Amino acid sequence: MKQLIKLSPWLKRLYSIQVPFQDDLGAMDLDDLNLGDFKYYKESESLTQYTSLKQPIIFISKLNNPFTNLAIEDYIYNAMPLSHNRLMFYINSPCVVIGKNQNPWQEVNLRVLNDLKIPLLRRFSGGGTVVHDLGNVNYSYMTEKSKFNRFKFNQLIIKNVNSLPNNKFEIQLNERGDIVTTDGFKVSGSAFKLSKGKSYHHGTFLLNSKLNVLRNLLSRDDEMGVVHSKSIDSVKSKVQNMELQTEEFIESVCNGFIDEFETDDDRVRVVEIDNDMILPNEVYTTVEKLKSWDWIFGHTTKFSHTFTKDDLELVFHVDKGLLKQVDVNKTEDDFKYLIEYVNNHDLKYTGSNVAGYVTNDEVSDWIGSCIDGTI
Amino acid sequence: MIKTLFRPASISIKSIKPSQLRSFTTTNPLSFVLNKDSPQYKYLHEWKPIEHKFTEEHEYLKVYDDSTALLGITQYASQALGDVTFVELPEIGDRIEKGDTIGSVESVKSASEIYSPVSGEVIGINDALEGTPSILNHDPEVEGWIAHIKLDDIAEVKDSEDLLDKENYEDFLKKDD
Repeated sequence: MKQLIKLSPWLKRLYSIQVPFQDDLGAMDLDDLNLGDFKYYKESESLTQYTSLKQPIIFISKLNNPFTNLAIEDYIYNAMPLSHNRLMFYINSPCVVIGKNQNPWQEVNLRVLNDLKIPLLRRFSGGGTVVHDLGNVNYSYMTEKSKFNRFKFNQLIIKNVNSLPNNKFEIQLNERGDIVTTDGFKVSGSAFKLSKGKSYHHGTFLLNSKLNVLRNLLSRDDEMGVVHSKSIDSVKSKVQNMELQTEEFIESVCNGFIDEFETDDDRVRVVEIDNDMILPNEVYTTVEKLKSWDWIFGHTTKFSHTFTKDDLELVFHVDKGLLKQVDVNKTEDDFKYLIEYVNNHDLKYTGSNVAGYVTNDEVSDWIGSCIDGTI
Repeated sequence: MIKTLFRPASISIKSIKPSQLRSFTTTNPLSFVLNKDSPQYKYLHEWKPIEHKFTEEHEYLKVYDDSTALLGITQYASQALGDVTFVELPEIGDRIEKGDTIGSVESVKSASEIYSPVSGEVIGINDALEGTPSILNHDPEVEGWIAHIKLDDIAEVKDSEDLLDKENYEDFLKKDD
């Protein structure tokens, strides 16, 4: 790795020798040599050149891939020098994001999630489950651990959003530190992470989200089985959109950040992250982790999942996402193979995996559909 | 430091249960039964550590003369975190390098990393924290131990500049306020 880093400036020089730049091109080049397209040539920027700068920086991601955005956020956080605040904004295409220590089978309607082909992510911070879509802006405020405060950044948001001339709903902080309208509807959810010397507070902000989809993704009924676990439970809240434009919201929070942290010696820099930005390898490694079954599902502590139908009671015991034990309340030939298999092998706990070992088709479809809608 | 930060959300008067009022004793909460058969019992209640060290990230390390150590978070950290709702433990057999994350604690929507100030192998974890994370609030420095580590080299503890003794740690806390 170290060797690669040492090599790279040399490689860069090697490859850049032949590249003509806009400034080098004369009228003749453009007309006669068909090099006109180089007018649009822009040298690619790399994210790493900004992440360690010793000044406050606002990163605005123009990317909508939730895996990439979460990985970039994590990278910026890990690379930030202590005592130079960072603020990042990102908007994700539809996805469900659970807290670091949550149980997806307990929090998410996996059947709806799979039907809608919406990705599930497990983030690195604590807290409960949220749904992201293009009508929701995510912010992430990173600072020193000694300056960590659960309320301060939300207060900054409230102050600046309330002063927007066309803001329709006045917002305030509730006793849990959440941003709510004066009618008590939640518009933003927060979560936090603390590491050596630094911390972040990130959150969602509902502007024009599809709340009915959000509701369907997060509501489960007992027919889908009852999960007993020691994982973190989400606190259900009634939610509402702020009906503001994305740019309006981002701009007002940016202004708040600049008012708070810019001094004559410490100017705030704004960096846009778009498709042309070169991302460091760490980001891709994190994307792989965020996409892996082992992290999304496997990082769940022991739980049991109980299904009842007529006089049948079925309990699945799952540890680290693997089905470890099956209890049935009566002798049932339908589950003979499943029990035998689970006693000798690890089985990833998905509807289709479990259904595959249940011999009765009707029962197998029912179980698969209850677990996550895959059969 | 973290104290001021976590304070507002950490303990609301309403949320204090009678059992939590005993936070500052080493008595176990009623929900937790002392396990005398646990391999760590003698370390916690019979043997005296030969070194008792602290980190600036508010972890403690109790080193015993068999070259093993118990790692946990300090009383100060436990109060600063607020109600602990989940503890992520390492696994027995995990290789730990000095400075590695060895687990994390979740409290009030915050995931806080726990770091190991020493290198070695995890030979014991406190399973009780999985079922009753609040032990970390009641009794972080005895029953709330997190990991039992077989040290690679006991000299690492003695020579370490990052590890504070009790007196220095207390000074550090005062300075931090």
